[in-house]
Amino acid sequence: MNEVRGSYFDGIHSRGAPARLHWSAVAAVVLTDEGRRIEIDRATLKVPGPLPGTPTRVAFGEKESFVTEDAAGIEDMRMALDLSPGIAGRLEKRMPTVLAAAALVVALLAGIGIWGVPALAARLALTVPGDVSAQISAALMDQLDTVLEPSKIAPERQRELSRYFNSYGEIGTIEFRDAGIFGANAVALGMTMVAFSDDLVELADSDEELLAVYFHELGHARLRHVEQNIFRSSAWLVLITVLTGDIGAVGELLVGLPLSVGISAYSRQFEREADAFAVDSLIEAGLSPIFLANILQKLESHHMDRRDARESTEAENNEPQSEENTENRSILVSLPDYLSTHPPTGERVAYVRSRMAEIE
Amino acid sequence: MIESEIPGSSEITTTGEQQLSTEQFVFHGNGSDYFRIWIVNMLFTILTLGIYSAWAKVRSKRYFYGNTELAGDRFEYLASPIAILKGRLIAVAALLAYSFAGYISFTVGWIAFALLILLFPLIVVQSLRFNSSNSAWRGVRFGFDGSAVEAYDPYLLWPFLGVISLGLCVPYYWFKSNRFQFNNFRFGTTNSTFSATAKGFYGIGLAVVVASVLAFILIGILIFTIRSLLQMIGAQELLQNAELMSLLSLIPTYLVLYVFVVAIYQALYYRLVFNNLEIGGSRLQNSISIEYIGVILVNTILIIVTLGFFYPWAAVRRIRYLLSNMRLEVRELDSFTAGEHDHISAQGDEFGEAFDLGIGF
Repeated sequence: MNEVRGSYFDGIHSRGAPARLHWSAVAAVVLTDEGRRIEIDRATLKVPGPLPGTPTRVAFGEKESFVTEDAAGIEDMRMALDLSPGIAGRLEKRMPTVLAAAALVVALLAGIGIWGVPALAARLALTVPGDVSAQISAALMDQLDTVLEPSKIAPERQRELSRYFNSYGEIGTIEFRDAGIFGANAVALGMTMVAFSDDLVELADSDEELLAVYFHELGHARLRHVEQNIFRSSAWLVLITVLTGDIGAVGELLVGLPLSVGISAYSRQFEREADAFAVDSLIEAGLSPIFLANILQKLESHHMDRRDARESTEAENNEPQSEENTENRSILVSLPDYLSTHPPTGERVAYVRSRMAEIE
Repeated sequence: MIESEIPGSSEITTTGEQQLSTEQFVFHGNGSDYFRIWIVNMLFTILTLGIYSAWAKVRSKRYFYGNTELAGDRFEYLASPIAILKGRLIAVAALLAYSFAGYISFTVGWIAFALLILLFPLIVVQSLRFNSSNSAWRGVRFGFDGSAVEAYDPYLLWPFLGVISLGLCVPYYWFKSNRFQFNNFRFGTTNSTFSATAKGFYGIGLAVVVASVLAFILIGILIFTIRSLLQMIGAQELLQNAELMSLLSLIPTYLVLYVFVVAIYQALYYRLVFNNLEIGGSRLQNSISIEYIGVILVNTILIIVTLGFFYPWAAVRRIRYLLSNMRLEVRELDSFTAGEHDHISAQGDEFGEAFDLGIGF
């Protein structure tokens, strides 16, 4: 067998002519049923790799082509003319190689997600110069300031705390803000900036507890967690764009869901690193790590009280509303728990206690 | 897996007056064949750090086009992977620059955003040209003649008006952009004409609003039902578990919003556009129905359950359903001729994909 049946197209008209493609070891020719004979120039001959179920369009000349559904015949021609089906075509053909490819894809994606992206981000974060990081901090602070109010803590007290913190480990800027409904919190905004909320300063029973929080945030800053996060999300963005490039909208929506869960798992790991940094720094400063455990517990009951208060006022105000509305709100209220960025407080306190046991 | 063959032959019915026949679009692909292509694509894309994705795209598009039959002949996708790779590299660089711009400063972020918006119409036109001129049937290429200058009206002015009118002008933007697309589309040297009216797109807008309201009611009912069921079987501990409960709320919310609202929008959109498109006296006919929601619902659930591995079957099921509802009322199919071959760079198309503009036939 050294010919296949199909249709010849001249590339100018949309009408095909029934024809045969005939080949020998040295030449190939198209013979139409109407008796036309078209010689194929081997140099311009293009036989695309096999795709299951689709007809093959053999292209030649400037824009001529020959289309056939005879896949087996084309395989014969490929052999005779010594044309490669391409490595993808070979892998797709056999079930074992397809299954091996699937297993490898799962393993590679898991590897990239668990080790690849974090390692790359950590490497890249080290290359960020201090002044670029300071710019990032300033931009983040600008964004936060759209929802925060200026601090109501006396400027002398602010300066006193900043001096106290800096004496144990220097950072560029320490900011104080009234965070309103966000309550007691502190945040590292890059390598050079840490911000405290008024409520946190009031919540602490001693400056040592505030220092424990400062050390935790200093850990984020020194370990470049903000910078790492930026690189991680960029890496994910590129990875997903590349992988789902030909998947389309369904894929993107679906990939987005586990991604946000993954990112919060990442940041839980950062929190643990920052806790470890804080405990180390407290020990180094000759202070007990118990200050960290104490403030963590206070923070937890502070946020729980606030939530209970919020829910009870909501329940009072909204009694006459329909079931469906309250249900919707409960989604919104419980969502942050599910996507929580911090490990459970119990686990963090247990860690601090285990470190204390080690010292004794 | 779910596989149901649609009768493979095209039904040709001749109506009285002129020699008018109706050609049914037929999709011949199946999920397991596409799975082979998809998984090998994925593997090579990862191993080559994304470089292969351009070849992967060409292979999957060739598979879908090559399995689509009209009047006995298959469609073809002819793009060169190298052109797509170039476009992809530029798109990735632009995306990276854009995502970093916001961190440098507020102003730089806004400048990058403004630049992107200003370039948007150019990207759309480039993408439309690339996609259509690399699609062919019976050896004759499709094409797109719309100019970038003209694109600023439908793709910059009207989206802007859509935003400042709080959505009231959005259907008019859909109308303008689709009219621009489908009036400039051609097969060979024959131009297409688009006859849908703004009224039709306002109908879709209204349906989407109604569907969204219904979706929220449905979500409430679903979550309420789940809770009541748990209460009935006495699973109080589960109800106390905030993490589990929010997951149980998140899934129905996502399914209902995505499946219900998006599927309704798409079904209505296809019906409107593909019943108002004419080329060389031949008219497209589309009969997508409410069944489409079922197709998308089953696809979405199975994709979630299989952690994405159902995707190849899902894509095939969706296309097969869409094409089984597409016909071409034919006047004359043999007389189309190709014009000069246009050579278009792949950049716009890749920008289009990177930002998911959903452009394509």
